[in-house]
Amino acid sequence: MKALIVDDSAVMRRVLTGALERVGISDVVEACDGAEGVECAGQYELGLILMDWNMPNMTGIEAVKAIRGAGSKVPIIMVTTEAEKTRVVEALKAGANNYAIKPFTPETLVGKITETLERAAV
Amino acid sequence: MDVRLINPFLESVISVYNTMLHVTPHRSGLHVAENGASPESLVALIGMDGPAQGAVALHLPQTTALATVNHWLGMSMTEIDATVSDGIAELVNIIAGQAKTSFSEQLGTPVSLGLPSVIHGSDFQVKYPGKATWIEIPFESELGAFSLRVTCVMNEQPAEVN
Repeated sequence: MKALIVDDSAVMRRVLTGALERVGISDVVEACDGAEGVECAGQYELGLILMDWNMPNMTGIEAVKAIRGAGSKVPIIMVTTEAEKTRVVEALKAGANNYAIKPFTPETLVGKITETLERAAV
Repeated sequence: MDVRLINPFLESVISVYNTMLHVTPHRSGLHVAENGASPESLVALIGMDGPAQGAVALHLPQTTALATVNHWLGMSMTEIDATVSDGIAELVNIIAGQAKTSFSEQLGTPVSLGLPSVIHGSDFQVKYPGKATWIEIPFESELGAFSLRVTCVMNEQPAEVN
C-alpha cells in the first residue's frame, strides 16, 4: 500500500513516516502543502493520506475538499494541532475519516492508522 | 499582560515535551522578558489572532536546539541546518496549537495561528508591535535550557453568537 503524507514540516513528515513503518507501510509519498497533496492524490493509487491542517498555499481542509470533490474515497486522517470540536466536525464533514491531534504519542497515531484502515476494509 | 494567560502555554510546553520527546522540562522561573538575545540562539516564532492576539516565541541556545531535534529524530546532527530549524518550528507550532485550543474553548471563538518562522543568529531582538509585554518562562531539561516567551492580550470584542 502506498501512503501520502501532507505536512509542511519535514521533521513531522519524518515522524509520520516512522509511524507508517510501524504498521508495515514503507511506500510513502510526501507533499509539503495542500496543493501538492491534491496533485499527488490524483497522481498515485493511494491507500491512506495523513493530512496536516495549517499549511501554506492550500490548507489541509481545502485539500480534503478538493480530493473528495475529485471523487477519491481514499481514507484520510487529519494530523493537526487544530483540536477544537468545531474543527474536528468541520474536517469530518469535509470528508476526513479520522482525526489525530498533535501532540501525539507514536502509539496513539499507530492506533488511529490501524483503526482507519480496518474501517476502510469493511 | 495578565499572567493567568501564561498557564495554557506553561502546561502546553510540559505536555508537548512529554508526549513528543519523552522529556520532562522543569520551569525555573517566570519574569518579564528583557530585551536582547543570547549569542547563537534559535528563535521559533508564531503569531496568534482572534479573541487572543499576540505571539509565542521558543528561544533555544544552539546546543539545546541541536540536542532537541537529534533526540526527536534519533539523529546526530552537529550544525544548525534546515532540519533543525524545521523541527524547532514544528515544536512551537504544536506548543502554541495546544495553548490556543484552551483559549478557544474558554472563549467560545476560535483563536487562529499563523505559520511559524525561525530566526537563527546572535545579537538580534524579537519585538511585537504596541505596548505588549513579553513574559518569559525559562525551563531546564535533559536536552538543555530553553525558554518560552509569550505576549498575549485578550481582544475586547464579544464572541460571535451563532
